[in-house]
Amino acid sequence: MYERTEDLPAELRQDLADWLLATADSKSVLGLRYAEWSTGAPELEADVTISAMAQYEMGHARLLRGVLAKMDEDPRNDARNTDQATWRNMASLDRPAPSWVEVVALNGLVDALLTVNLESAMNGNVAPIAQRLRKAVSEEEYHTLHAQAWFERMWTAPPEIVERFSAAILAAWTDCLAWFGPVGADNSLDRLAAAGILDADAATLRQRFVAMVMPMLQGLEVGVAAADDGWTLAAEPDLEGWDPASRRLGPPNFDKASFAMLTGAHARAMGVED
Amino acid sequence: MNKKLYEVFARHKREEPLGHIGTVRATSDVFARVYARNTYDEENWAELVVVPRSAIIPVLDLELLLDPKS
Repeated sequence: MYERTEDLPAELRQDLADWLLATADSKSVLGLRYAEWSTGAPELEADVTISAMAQYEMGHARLLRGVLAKMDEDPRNDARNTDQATWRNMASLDRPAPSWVEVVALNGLVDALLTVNLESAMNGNVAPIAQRLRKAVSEEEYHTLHAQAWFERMWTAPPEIVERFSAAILAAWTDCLAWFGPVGADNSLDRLAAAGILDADAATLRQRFVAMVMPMLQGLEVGVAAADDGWTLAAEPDLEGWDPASRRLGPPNFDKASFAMLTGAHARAMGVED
Repeated sequence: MNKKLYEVFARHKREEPLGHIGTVRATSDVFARVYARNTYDEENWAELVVVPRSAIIPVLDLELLLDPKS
């Protein structure tokens, strides 16, 4: 067990810093997307729940950034406030969810993917990360339940809603598979797993994600077939334009309001500094 | 969708009795669990449970209590 991130081999510290930032940024922006629906959910209890989930996501982002801030390899700098390309969140989160349907899709896929990642680091050998993630992972159990319950409900909705829901899932699905990057090729997840920082390599993490999500899809065609030992992808995802640091296809494409919100631009304009 | 009323009970310590802390309305037991967890998560509970209101068996007849002569 590594008691401090400084104790890690130098060649792995940058990989870990990149993983921390991509995960933390995704959690942070997912929190924003949940928060935007804190008064717009279909029922009052769902308002309360999505508000709580937003707080948890932001809390998890803060926790991961706390580890990152102590590392010399922390990629963040002043450009974070002005240059979108310095953000590393998953692409599905760049724009606000236009309806509750898309919020549920994010909950079922993006949130699930991040949980697979947190669990892997919780079972890894970097003490400051493993210890901090125990509570976070236990909190995620209710996000998973929330997604499962809403997915079940969505599949019984009117056809136009099911169609929209399916499209939202497929959009997020592509983005999620891209996160795991090239399997069996140069991939920082494999290096982190080989060193014990994560408890599984890219192929295994992807398999865990697929196994977590597939039962919720109720037969929606996403190019995955059931196999004796789990699930098999019909083809490897197209990773043209994939960036190994952000683990996404193409640079961020935030709308102006989202980027201002994420970077605190409104607050700074009023003279309130972090 | 039809929603059911669920009563929410909790306790801070294992040795304490469960106390009633509120209600949630939900379309399924799973939703009731998720909603109760997120609505009543301000405190550090040792146990938090939901019970469908329909599962509660009355012991005293409320009408008799209100009007003993009836």
